[in-house]
Amino acid sequence: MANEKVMPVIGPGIPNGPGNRYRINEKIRNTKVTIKRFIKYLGDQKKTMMFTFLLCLITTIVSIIGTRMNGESVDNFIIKGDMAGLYNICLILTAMYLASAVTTYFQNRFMVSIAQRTSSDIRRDLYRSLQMLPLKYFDTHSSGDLMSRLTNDVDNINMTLSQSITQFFSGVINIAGMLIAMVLLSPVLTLVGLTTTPFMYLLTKFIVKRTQPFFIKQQKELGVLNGYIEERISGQKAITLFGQEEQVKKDFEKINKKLTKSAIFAQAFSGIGPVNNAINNLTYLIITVCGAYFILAGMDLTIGMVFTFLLYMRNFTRPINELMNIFNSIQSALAGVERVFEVMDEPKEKDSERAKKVSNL
Amino acid sequence: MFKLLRYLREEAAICAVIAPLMMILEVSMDLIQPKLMADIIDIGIANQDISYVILIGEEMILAAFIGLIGGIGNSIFCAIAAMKMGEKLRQGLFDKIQTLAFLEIDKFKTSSLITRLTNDISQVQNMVLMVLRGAFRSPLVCLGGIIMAIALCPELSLVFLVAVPMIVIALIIILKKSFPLFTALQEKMDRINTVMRESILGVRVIKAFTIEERQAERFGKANFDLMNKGVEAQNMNMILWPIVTLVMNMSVIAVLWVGGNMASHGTIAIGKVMAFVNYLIQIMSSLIMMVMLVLNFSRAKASADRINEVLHTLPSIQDNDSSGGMKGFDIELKNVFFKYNEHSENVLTDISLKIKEGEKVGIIGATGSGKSSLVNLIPRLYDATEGQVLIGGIDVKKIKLKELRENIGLIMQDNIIFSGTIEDNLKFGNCNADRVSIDCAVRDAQAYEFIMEKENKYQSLVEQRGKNFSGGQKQRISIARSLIKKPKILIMDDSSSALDMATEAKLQSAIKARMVNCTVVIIAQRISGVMDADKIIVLDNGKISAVGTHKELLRNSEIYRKIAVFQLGEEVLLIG
Repeated sequence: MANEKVMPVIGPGIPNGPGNRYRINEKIRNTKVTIKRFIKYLGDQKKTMMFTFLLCLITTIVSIIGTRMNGESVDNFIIKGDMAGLYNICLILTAMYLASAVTTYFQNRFMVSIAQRTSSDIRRDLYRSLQMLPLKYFDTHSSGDLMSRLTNDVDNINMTLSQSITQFFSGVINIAGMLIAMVLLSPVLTLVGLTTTPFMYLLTKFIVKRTQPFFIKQQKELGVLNGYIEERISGQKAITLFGQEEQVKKDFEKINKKLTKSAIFAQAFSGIGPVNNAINNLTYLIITVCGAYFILAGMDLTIGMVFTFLLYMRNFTRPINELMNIFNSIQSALAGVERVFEVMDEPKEKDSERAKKVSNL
Repeated sequence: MFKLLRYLREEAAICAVIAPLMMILEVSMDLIQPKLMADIIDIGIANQDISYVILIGEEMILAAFIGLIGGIGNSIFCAIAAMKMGEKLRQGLFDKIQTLAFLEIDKFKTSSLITRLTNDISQVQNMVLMVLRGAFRSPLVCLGGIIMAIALCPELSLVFLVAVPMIVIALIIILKKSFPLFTALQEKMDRINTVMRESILGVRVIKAFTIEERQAERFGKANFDLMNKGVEAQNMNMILWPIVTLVMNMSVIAVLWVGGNMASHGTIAIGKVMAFVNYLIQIMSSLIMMVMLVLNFSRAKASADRINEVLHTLPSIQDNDSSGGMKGFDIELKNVFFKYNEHSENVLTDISLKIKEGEKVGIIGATGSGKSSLVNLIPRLYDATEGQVLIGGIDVKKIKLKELRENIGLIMQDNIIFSGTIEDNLKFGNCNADRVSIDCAVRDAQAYEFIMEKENKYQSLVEQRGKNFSGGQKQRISIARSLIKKPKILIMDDSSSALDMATEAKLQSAIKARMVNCTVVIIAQRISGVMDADKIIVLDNGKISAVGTHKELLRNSEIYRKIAVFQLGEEVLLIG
């Protein structure tokens, strides 16, 4: 699975689900506090969430064990011609997969409802606090920015909750499971295979750092464009009355072209996908060559083991790549959460303590 | 969705062709790796040939490097194709909106048009990016896998005959159900955006009338609807996951069982069963990728539909072959009826009136009596539903729009000024205006003083929606802006309401002096604003209730007399 991940998303659009988001690594000022406060929003849904994690655990473990059992059934039953044993293992597998389909379904359903309910609560509270803000706040803050917090940020939270969280969870379990399987099979090859992992991490960080300015530029120009759209479309009557349609089209074209230019740069050079893919291929190469060397050197290793190990490695690196993406989207969702809380925390307009009721008009 | 592909043109189209080619380069390099690996094991290890192992290792590095180039190339060309297409599409949509009449704009709602220009375009753009980067890969792997599997063992391949149709049918059924759900979801999204925009932009009104509770209730309802639709739409798509995985897992079991039995009878080699299972797993993961893509597709499809809806709207007001020039500036309305859409009630009922060139006319009436709707018909912001609007004896529908609007200066109630400098705003209707005429218009609009008090004078910056100016300042800038146009017909739709009495009086006499030979129509809340007009039209509930001079109306019109007494006091009757 090389680059199924379409990384950058022209923000502030609605994110497209897992793995498709790649935003600027937004700085979160106080991760712990934000998370804690956010968890409060889950309220009594925390139990449902725990249950969902349990379902997720089952699903993931079934898929790990299932893969393993496929192989075992070949080794232990088909090769030996034990049809009764094969029959039994097929029955067990069927039961397991049926169960995992059910758990997957409910796990997704629960997460969708948790996500929708939480984001709807947040949206409601945000709107309420918005209503209580003093007029001055509206004069000093752009309406587009406020709208974007209420729509994009909250929607981002929704998407992340409904998809990324369970993926993150099952990704971690998968990685741990595969790591255990690899160590059990061959500790030496595991060590060899893991040498590229930190390298991959560092390279990813390097690329993200290098491409960030492009993203910032893109975000900025997107802001300009959205501002222009917002203002001109709302002021369409004036444009029509003054017959300025053509001029406005031309101005828009300029801004539009500028955005495209920086967006292309931002999107094109953020290709972590191909780089990861190349590193993965190198990892397989290192394992194969080292495996071959170890076998030739007379170590306790068989060709079959190297093959199986390569399979495990594939299942190990895939979720790592995904996790990096998911981590980005969780981070950007958290930044959104923080922006939302920021508005909620603005000092509210309230009557002074000595304010009296107007009794006589 | 596919209709939008016509925006994939010029360099975007070229890049859209190159990108998958680069992808194929990357994929084929990926596919070479296992073969080279097998060579290392089968030949290198079998022959105990370390130098061969290293040689093949070098080849693998080369393949990885070529693959990297393919991958990066794909990334670059995809970005160019998707972004260029997005740009063209955005421009197309924006240009289209510029041609729409307000009948259509009202139908779509401004906030929805903005969402379509921003979010919906991004959705489509992302979809293109995703398709170019990933979509070619999955079907390729899927198809290749199936072909390899059939070649390997036709008997076992029968499993595809069962599995593939099942997945396809499930996919079609669920997509059919989820498309309308996602469209509905977008509508709910629009709804919430509308309430929010109202609340943010209209915060002053809401606070002034303390209708926060009512707004909160509306928001609460929209929010609740959005949540429910969201759950419904997402749940529908979530069914796909377990179905696809279950079908594929069952296929694997079937292959194990049948293949195992065949192997025990010696009709198939065990290695082939293993290879077959491997292909199945490969096919499964590419199928899951395709499902992911399809899920995103239903979102993008909803967006594409919303964009297409705008693109396919025919503007109700535009020039046609019979449009000609103007031949005079007398305004005449003949039995005009008007309503904002088919389902609403008439806002104007059977209006007939004449305004001669050079006349000064006032229009007065309660809120909602149809004053603004009436004057909006003159520069064709809207067209009369029935009846005719004539200028100089020609139906406005037969006058070139540009010429019509150049000659009419309508100053609206909600004064819209744009970000830029004050000068940009003043020159909005006449970019060739010279300093002298600008100065003169600005003085007449009573805006000279406050502009000169600004540090940068005409070059002072105006923020978005002119929020760094007061209501009165904005009104005066928009009045000046219309005066600079030098219109033959000036219509002021309650456009000096934020000025104090003294300034308003100065403004009125300046306009009177300036517009000597021109028609001036003034809509006012205050009777003092229309008292000296040649003719005053009293509107009541969409109908003309009375027409006459101030003195005549005091005698003849009950409504006018009431307003006059209320605003000017009993003594007005004595003087009149």
